[in-house]
Amino acid sequence: MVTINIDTDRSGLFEITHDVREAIKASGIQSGIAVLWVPHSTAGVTVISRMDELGFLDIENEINRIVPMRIDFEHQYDTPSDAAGHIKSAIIGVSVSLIIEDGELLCSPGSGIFFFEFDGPRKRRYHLQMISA
Amino acid sequence: MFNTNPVRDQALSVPGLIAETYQTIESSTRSALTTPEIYSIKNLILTGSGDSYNAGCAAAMAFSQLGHLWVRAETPMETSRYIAGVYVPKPEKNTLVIGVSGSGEGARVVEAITAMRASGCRTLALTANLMSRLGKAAEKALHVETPPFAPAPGVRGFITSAMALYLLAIRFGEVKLCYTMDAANVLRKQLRSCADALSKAFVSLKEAMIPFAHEIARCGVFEILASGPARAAADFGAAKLLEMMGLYTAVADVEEFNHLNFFRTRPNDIPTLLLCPKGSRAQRRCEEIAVALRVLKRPYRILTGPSGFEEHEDAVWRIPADVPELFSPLVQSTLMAFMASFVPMPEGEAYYHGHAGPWNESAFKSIKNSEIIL
Repeated sequence: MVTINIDTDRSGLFEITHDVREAIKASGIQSGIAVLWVPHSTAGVTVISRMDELGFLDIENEINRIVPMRIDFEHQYDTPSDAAGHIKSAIIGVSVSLIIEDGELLCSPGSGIFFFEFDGPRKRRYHLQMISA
Repeated sequence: MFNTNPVRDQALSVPGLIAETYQTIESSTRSALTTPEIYSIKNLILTGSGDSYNAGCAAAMAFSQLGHLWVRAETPMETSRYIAGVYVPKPEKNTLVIGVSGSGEGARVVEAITAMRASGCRTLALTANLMSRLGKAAEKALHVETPPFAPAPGVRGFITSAMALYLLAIRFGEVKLCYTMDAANVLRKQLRSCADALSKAFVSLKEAMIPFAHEIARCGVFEILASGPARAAADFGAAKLLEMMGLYTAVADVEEFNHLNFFRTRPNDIPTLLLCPKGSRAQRRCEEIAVALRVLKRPYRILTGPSGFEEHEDAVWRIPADVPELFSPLVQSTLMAFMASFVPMPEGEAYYHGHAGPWNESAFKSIKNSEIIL
């Protein structure tokens, strides 16, 4: 398993495609699957279009519109931002399955893998488990 | 490790006490106030008597700096008889009054919380006894238990109360998103690490403290100078010497010293301790006053951090760890008690004079049975 650290300097999307590609290449696996797992409950991971940076803002804005930060969440053990983050994380999800083919990540050039921070800035990490077919 | 007496035992137990109680207190502070309550509170009054008052003074800066609140620490007498309905700000729902009392039975703090609640303020009791009069008088209560220990002029109740207040202050800033949860956890770690700072300081300062403690006993007078949160530690140290052996200690703000106590006669017979935590906002003035102490030929010491005051090296007591000014009263107060424990008790003397003779409190209405006036 490979663990990659990421320090988020804000809430929002952070592209991790390059790091995932490098980890897959380094594994030497020619054909198989990679599971990417985010071990946090106020962050997530998703595959989206990387062609227009304003599209990132659209996604962030829509998620915040669906789950705006409020002070009257039932979960008050931490912060309002944390409470909203749990819900956003549940919606987006904390893992994606990726395909490895010809020793590379199978992913169209227009798409990217993004770490989604919902309660930044934080010190974060994600795990990659790669299995040969 | 050291010859023992009950006050020293209490001081030495503090690192273990912090480790033992931290998690429970930290968890309790998370549910003491709801998020909407935290957002609605703009003003804070911390009230309590004796060590509980000092705990409020110790934590006031933390609430202000971390929680972005307007804060004052007041005695219950001021709170109940003068602030409630008289002073500004006008008591209202965005004012929170925290009443601190281990037993929860001090008449004046019960009165203060009752009066402020009647004035429309939010009220929170910080007590070990939820069924006490204080626990019942306040709208909400934060249960802070201090594990039992051999009786002596207390250190441990102050530590748990101050720690609860600090954790509540961190909580205010965190919930109000003044900083991230990671940053809040760094603050919590700094607070916990006061235990390590103390363990090191006991070892490194003991030998230096003993002769100074004997000098205090020889002179029969003592002065402690401090500003900001350190003032709480100074008052706490003075309280321990009074409770232990009836020795009166004058406590002065660093600036006010220059206006007043500076002019005392026979300065070479006035042992003086200057408290200046590392990074103190008063540090530059402390450096100036340290020179005055040297010129006066007072027997003086400076309790400070790992660096600073190099030109007074023979007089410096260094806490061998970085403790932020915000949390420094936790360490300095314990070291005040530790130092006090080396001041020789007058022969035949007992803590609190044994509550005997003229110090028998049954002859008048004392702390708990004083008349409550509303």
